Amino acid sequence: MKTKKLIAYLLIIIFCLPTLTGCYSAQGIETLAYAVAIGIDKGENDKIKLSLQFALLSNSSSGGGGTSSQSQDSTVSTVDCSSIDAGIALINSYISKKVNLSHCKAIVISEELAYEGISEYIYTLTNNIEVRPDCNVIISKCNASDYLNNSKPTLETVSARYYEFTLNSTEYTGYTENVTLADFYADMLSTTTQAHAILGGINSKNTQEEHSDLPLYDIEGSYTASQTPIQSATGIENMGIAVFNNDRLVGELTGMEALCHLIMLNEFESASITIPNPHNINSVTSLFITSNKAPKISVKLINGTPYIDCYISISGNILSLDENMNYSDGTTLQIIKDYTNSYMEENIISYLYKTSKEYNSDIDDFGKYVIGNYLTWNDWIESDWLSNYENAFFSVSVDTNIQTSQLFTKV
Amino acid sequence: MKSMQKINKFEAIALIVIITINQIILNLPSTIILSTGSSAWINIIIISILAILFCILICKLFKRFPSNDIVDISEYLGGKFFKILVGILYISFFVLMSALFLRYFSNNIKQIYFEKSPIVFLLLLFLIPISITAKLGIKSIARANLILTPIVLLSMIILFISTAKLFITQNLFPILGFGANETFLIGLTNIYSFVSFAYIYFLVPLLKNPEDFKKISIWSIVISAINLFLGVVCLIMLFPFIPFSDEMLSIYLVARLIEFGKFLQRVDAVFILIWILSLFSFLSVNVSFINKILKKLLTLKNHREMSFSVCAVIFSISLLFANISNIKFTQTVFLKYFTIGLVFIFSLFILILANLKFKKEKT
Repeated sequence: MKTKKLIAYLLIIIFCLPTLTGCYSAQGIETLAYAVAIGIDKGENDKIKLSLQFALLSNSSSGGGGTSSQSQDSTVSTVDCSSIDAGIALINSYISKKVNLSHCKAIVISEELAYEGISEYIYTLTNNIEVRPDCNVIISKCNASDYLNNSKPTLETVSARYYEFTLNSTEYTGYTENVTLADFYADMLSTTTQAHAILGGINSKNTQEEHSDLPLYDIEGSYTASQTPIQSATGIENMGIAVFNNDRLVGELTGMEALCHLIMLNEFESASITIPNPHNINSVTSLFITSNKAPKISVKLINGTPYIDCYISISGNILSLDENMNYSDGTTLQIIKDYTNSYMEENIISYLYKTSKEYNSDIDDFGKYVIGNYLTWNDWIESDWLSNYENAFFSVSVDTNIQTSQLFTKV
Repeated sequence: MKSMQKINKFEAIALIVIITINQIILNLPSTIILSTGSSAWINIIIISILAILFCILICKLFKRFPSNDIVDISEYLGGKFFKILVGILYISFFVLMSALFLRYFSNNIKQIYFEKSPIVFLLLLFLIPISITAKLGIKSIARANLILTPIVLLSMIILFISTAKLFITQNLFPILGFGANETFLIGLTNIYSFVSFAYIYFLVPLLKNPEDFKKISIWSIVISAINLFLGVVCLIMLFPFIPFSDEMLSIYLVARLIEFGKFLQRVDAVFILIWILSLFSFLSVNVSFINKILKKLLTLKNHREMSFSVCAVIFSISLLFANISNIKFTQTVFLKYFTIGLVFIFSLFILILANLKFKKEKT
């Protein structure tokens, strides 16, 4: 009996031994090069130019048991290659560490390449286990490699977190949308909607010095990336949305149009807008608006032509304080409400017709309101919604609930 | 000693439910969606109703054989030769299921976490512990499984709830998907999803109270149906492209989307761990059932000693799948029709004929 037990224990130990060999292929943090962003440009000699922005680990990470903090610097490696994987292999052979994409936060594709179609690269990246689905897709108005080279975190020490926080600003500005790789991939293959991405660019000295002749009250929302007159060290900026038809870039939307897009998708959280002052044409009133209810959208097909009716409800607080205005007065609030309603309606209508007539790209997923009218996939595919969107007509009504001013109602 | 190896009501339900859960993990919902499109959820409702009706019928047919399984009944119907034939068919079925699921899951685990590790190493990592657990007998497996099944079920519910905010309900349309024919006629072949009937046929002799058989069978089929429905609905509403694409592990794609705020992200590793445990349980149940059948066919004294040999056979067959094309073909074509033929047609005939014989003998 004892011998049997001994044999059993020995067998268990022998069988368990192989499980302890798991570390033979293990890779430590020191052996990997973590790419925080991927840039893809049209190649000069080869098919594409791949850029990888690496996070540089500070010295404290190398010691046994040390913290794995990252220094403020990052480095960008660029290579001409025939495919993304071939490029990574080339960079692997150049740097002393293995490229790892599991901390990649942004995929930056140049506008030039996006106009030719990017499905091949999106499929490859979606199929890569290391690339996370929450990685952002940015269409850069400049070269992707320049975009990465100019991405210099000033208020953040970790590059990956820098990308995360930069793109989260949409929650309080509404000037772009946080588009992830999973969203872009799903939209590109969808039959009810078209793909769109974050529009990025570089804030250079030229853009800072450029004077704009835009109207006073909607100037901030009228910029796209690379146009904002921010006086700061050269850096990247994300503003507006890149609009796609299938996998090809067809146009871009400004910050204000991006805000309208977020409202239509029910992804709008909050933003500051500027409307003309009802009592002084040379002055403006600033409002802080938030989403009140989900937009009510109905799509009817009238003789095959889509008629899209949208009802939008938003809440607003007045940020400005004007010596001629009394914000506790009901009539004043009503006037501001009417101004806001017509301002928003005008912007949303203009945005919707731009996507329909100019770009023929239903990036607001109106198709999902029609698909229920069809019985089978064949019927739906034959209706060719995405092409028919070009013929769409819109009716928009906005109801703003102006609630209060901030600390003072009158001065 | 014999009664100590009997399992109770909850253990039996968990034993059946874990089979369907493993099918869900290993891409069954995606396979159903590929065949029916956006109407997969209607198809699931229809086949679930059929499965429940089938279950009631099976329970009625088993009533006359309160302590027998399908192998015993086939011996009663057609003698020793027929018993051996049915036994071999079911052994082949369980071995094939085990080998296929093991290889498919190991392949995926290799792709996700162990890119450099040889597949043999991963297969053995599953099979060695299973050959030991199967030796402990069905009672131990059922008890361990009773602890594990609620955890796996909970993980599926968490998966569903945490991705619910991303659901697009309009993806459930067009309501007839690829067509009425695909949904209501060809789609009926998707009843193979309820492969757990194969295990229900062997359940009666394992039960502490065989009179609970009907309750156990119906409950386990209902829980399996709900799980399957949630799995299909979750995938359709999350991925608009799913009727046209083929994923390796669709439920893993869902797990990758989960994040709880900015602080708890990339929780897919936790799900993979739970699914590994779930596969352990599934394989243990299979090996244990194969042992039971072998005992009946070969009149073995100590059937548990067969565990190592059974695991070796499963290991060898799992190595036969040279690539993903072989695995997909076996899963979506061969196993589908083998299941329908053996579990839903052949076994039903055995039960009906045995009942007729019983009736005839009585009169």
